[in-house]
Amino acid sequence: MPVVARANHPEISELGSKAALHQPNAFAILSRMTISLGPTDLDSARRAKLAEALVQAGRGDRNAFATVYAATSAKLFGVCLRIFPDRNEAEDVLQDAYLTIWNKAASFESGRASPISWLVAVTRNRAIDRLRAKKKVGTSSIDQAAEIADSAPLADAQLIEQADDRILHDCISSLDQRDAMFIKNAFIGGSTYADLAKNEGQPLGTIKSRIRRALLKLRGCMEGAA
Amino acid sequence: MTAITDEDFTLAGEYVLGLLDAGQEAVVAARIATDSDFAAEVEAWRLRLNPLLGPEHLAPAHIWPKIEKALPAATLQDVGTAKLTFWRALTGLSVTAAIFLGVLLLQQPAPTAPVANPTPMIAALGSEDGRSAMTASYDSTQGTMLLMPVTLETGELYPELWIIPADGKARSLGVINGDRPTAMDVSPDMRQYMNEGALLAITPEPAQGAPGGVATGPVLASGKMIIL
Repeated sequence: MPVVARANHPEISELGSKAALHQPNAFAILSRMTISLGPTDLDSARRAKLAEALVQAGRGDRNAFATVYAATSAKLFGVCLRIFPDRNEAEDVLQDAYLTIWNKAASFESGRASPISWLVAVTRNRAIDRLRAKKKVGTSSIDQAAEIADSAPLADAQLIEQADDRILHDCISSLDQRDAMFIKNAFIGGSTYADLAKNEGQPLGTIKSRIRRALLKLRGCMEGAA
Repeated sequence: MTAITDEDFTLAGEYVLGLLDAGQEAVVAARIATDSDFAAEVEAWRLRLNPLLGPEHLAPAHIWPKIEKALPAATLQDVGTAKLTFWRALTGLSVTAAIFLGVLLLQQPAPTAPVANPTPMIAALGSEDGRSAMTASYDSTQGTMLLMPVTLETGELYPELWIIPADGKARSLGVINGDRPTAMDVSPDMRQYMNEGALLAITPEPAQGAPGGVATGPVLASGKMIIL
């Protein structure tokens, strides 16, 4: 028995994996250990571990932050690529997102949200902020909305790999095509109600009630299917 | 707790989709903070919609080093207690001292030929709870390491120093003196592992060192080697 007994000392073998974290290969392996989104395959122990690492990162623990990165970077890079198909831009956003996560980690409350949905929300918000800033300087948003519709088709084979994805896909497909596009243009393209109304040349109220009806229908469909 | 209405359901969905303007968003954010039922509905919408933000993609390996580099210096990160601040300040001081000694070491009479690209490296070894345990300064041209213990409590056991390179395997550098600064020669076969990014670690072990070269005690402190 070691005479020095202090709680939470890691084993030297664990430390090795931390050192290995700085190597690209080990990183790739760790990055594949991503946390799945679906509540059904969400390993609760892993989720608790991620939540704990995030809380520790909020207290300034860099090792814990490296753990968060290793477990979530593939998921969050996917988010960035969905919003910015240009790889270089997506990489910039990913970097920016993790720095935001580092700064905001202290505000994460594990009781209120799952760590992964919190991380995805922070990342999406960073990406959308950037997209909106670009749009302000850039071209007409109608063109960009059309681009989103083309570059991220809902029938994307990769998107329907998982059961949860398939339910979402089926339910969105059951919506009016226009409503489905509004939902995607908001979530992936950063369009607000005001943007959509302007693009459609319709009164704000009309767009709002359309989307609200679509949201209730979507929720009903997904809960019925789950 | 208020009963969740259809308006609340759609409001939560509108919020997650980002349809609201900044003013409405702020109102909803405030409600999330105070109404846990409503917060649960926002979470439910995220879980429903997040598959739209996939699929996963392996992030390129060069991203993490950039992120790590961009983090604020550890000493500036507030973790709260004055004690921690004290230890961190002390770490800073001993790092400075280690650098100073390391420079002195490098300035010792050079061998006949001038040495190309000397690479002094240092490591600040801290415990999991952020306390400084030791600083090390390694001179790769000489294979010499200066060790400056700060607090190294090993009870009846002795501190053994390990180097853990990229392969993640711990290799013993030997039992060290935990009470006062010492200079040690790193054995020639270990010098290949003394590179930037490798981890130095200390475990408590018997006086003659860990049997069979395998650590038996918990890691008391560790720190990455960095090039000055």
